[in-house]
Amino acid sequence: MRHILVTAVRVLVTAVLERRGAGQWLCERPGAAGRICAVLLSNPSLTLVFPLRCVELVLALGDLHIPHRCSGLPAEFKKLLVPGKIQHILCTGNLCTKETYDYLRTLASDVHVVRGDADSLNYPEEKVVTVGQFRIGLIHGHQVIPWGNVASLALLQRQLDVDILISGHTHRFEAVEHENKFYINPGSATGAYNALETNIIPSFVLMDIQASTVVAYVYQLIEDDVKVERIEFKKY
Amino acid sequence: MLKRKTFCKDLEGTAKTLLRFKHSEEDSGLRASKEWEELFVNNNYLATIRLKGINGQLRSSRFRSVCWKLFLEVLPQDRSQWIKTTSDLRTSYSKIKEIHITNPRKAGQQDLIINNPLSQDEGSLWNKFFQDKELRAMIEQDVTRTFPEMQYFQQENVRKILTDVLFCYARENEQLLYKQGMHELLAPIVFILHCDHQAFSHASEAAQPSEEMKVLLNPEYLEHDAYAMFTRLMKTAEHWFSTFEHDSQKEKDVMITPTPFARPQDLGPSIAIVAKVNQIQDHLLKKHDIELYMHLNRLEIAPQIYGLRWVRLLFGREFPLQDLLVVWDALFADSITLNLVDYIFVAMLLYIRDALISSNYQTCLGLLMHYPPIGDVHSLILRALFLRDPKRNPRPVTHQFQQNLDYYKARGADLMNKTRASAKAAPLNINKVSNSLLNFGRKLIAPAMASGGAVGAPAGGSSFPPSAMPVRSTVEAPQHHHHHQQHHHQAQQQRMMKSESMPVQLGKGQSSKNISSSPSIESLSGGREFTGSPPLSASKKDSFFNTISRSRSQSKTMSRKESEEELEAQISFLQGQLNDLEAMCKYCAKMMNTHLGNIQEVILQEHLEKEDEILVSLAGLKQIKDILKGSLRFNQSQLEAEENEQITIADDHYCSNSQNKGTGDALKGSVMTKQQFISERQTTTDSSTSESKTADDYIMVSKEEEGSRSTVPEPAQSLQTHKEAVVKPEAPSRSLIFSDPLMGSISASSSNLSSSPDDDSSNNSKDSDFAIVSPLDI
Repeated sequence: MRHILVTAVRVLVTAVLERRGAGQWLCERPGAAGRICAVLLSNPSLTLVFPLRCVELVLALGDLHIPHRCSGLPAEFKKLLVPGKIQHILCTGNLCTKETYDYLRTLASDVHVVRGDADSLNYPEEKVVTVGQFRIGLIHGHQVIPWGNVASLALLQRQLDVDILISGHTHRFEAVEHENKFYINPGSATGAYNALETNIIPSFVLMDIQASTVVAYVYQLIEDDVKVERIEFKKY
Repeated sequence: MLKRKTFCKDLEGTAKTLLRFKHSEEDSGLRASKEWEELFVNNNYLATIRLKGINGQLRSSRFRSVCWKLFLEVLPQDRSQWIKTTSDLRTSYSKIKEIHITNPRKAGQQDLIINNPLSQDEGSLWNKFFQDKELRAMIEQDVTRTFPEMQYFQQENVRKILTDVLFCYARENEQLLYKQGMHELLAPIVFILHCDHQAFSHASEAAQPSEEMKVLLNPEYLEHDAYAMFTRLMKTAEHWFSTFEHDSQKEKDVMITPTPFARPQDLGPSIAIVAKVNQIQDHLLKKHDIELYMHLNRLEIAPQIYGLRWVRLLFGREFPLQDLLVVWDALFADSITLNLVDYIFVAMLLYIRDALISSNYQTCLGLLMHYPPIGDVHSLILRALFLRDPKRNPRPVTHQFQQNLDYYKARGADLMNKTRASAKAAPLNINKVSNSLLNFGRKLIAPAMASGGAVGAPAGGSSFPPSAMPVRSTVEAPQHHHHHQQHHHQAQQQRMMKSESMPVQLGKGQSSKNISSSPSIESLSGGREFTGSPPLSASKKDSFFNTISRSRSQSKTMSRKESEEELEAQISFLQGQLNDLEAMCKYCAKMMNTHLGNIQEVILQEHLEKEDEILVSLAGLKQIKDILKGSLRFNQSQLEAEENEQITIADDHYCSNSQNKGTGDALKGSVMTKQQFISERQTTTDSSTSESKTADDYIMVSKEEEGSRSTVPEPAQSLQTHKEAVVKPEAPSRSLIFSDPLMGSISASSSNLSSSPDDDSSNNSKDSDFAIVSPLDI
């Protein structure tokens, strides 16, 4: 029943929006959708307002190696990361200490961490999180051989049955769409050195999850300047 | 055919049916159009409806919202322009809404550096989005708390309307943003719009309404109309919400010393609303009722405590909704500048003036913050009009609020505890303590006052320590029921409570006598009580217990969390009591000491026949003195022994000596030793048997601390018992003579101070083995 309502509203909304020329989107987060539908249907006089509560920001970062290889996040990144904006944090691992974990907890309430090869604490090896319509898989990446190989990662993706797979360990940013699935490597947020590479650019990824679209903003610190890139990915 | 109109005053269902028509539907349509014509279709309709508004005749009108729109100048005077203006306003609101309710994902063309979700750049849409989210959250928090008792405001769509309107207003007026209280101004507006729409839909089911009516009362545009009315209202009310400080003395470096003796309302930055409220109190209230003004000043009740809420919400929380709408009718009808607010403010104060004047700080706060319900709110409006313009308005009948004030006292106590941070924290306890001590002092002075007094005082003597005097205590009261009237009690109580408001400095002991005069002065100079009977200072004192007991019974239903405060208050009160009693005892001890010394000297010089008996009595008296002073510890078993009239000395580990040689002058006080103290049976001194130094058998209790609680209340009893004991002497089996080394050193003839059995040390020595517990004497 709700599904019918939702689709009905979606039709309504798209009709209205097309008239106005705006992009099409409607958030279908359960609960919010129901409420919004009820509101819209009960009071047709209300101008259709974009449901703002459906913004879900997911932060993906990892390989911090604090304090062994780096002393902390770059100051520019710290300035950007303000509590209250981000709903979820997915960390690929190698934090390595509890203090860093606590810092992440201050940014958002929902923090997921997986165990990296330098982590000593008890995190799981891999995790699957559902945000909006997307199933997101999380793994550190040292388990996948060769490191950073898309085909091998695809193996894992099939195993976990996720739409987005986030992995790390290579300390290099990557965002690849492969066989209609999205593979993100947020790199190292602190720019910590790797076994194979010493010149690392600090980076992390922020995902804006809408209904079936993910917009990923990549923040990289290139020569003391924060550069942002935007990548869009649709599910179907 | 009877046509009746019934009003639904039930707030729960008011949203649905404000008017219920019991006749056929055709009539309703006809009546609607008739009313419309009556209100709006005549030449001078504006004046007519203004008059109706002031007279409260719009209470049941179907077109209240239209009237309000006219009052608030949302609709122009020219009727032909109504439709046009309305639609203009509505479209402008839609536009505003579009602008402000943003979608951050829409701007694809913006520079990514600026417009990314984490950006804190001013131009970033995302940044704006997050700020909006915060503002919305704040507004929603207040909206959910609007009129919680009404079902209408619990609906989601209504809440959304409120939130959107407030949000748009906040975004349109960036310098003011959203302040708490605006939701209370908006809510009644939305409500009456809704009611009118309901009524209109009822009416239009039957008859065909006019085009004007249809446009104006279109339920689809409830939000837009509400926005228009709200903004117009806020144009007047906005400077009440602004927290802009007019004073330019904002230098943080300079230490601004507050002016001495400044009132609390005068300290602190001057904000517009605070200035306004102060001005109302200082000028208007002073002009019309100087006594109330002085009283409020004396209690240091800053008008912004209650006035801020009254003015900002336009009395939204002081009256039930229907009454509130009537008040707003009058306010808006009177003028868009809301000038009548000041006078309604004063009228409200005057309504409860009698209750206020006769109350203390706590009750006043309770009254003001929880304004008592008024039966006829229209009389308030009339009064306000009269105050503003006595020449043109009729003088209204003065009603006064007369009700049980205990409820407000309790409410006031809650508020006081909430605002403990302010300097008013102390007075609560002090007042209670001081009041009880006042009473105690009074009882000392006038123990046997008029009729009921005698019952009160001696009973008080025994029950006083255990019974807690604070008015709100829940200890069982001594059951003295005098036959005074209830209101008389209350009157006394009010005066009692008023006298509490003067913190009275109590010294020790002696000064308690001086205090008794001040309460009576208080009562004489105090305000009138509402029954008008003259205060009787005598009966006041003795009926105090009654009021306590009555209020205690009334206050038994208090909530649990108050019991903690009560316990605290009780404790502090008891402490004060104890301190006072201690002081008294010490004083008594001192005086006794002096006098006993004198007597002893004289006797020793006189060489009387029955010298020994006298000396034994003197010894007993010295014991008493020591008990009062605290060096000796008083044991309850003495009392029992009294009744038995027997010597039941259990054992005498310590009583070894009969070395009561020594002269008869040896009996000075008693020495504290670390021994058990069983007191005085009947000390007998047969002048034959003992060599006169026979004192009672004492086994002394080592005293842990001075002023222990058990000792202190007992002196009253022990006084008596000791006296008795000394009078009826008996031959003890042992005798011990102890002396007070301190006394021994002072007195001239300090011979033969017998030792305690344990120690061989002479009594003169200030041996450390002897635990003399009277450091105060040293």
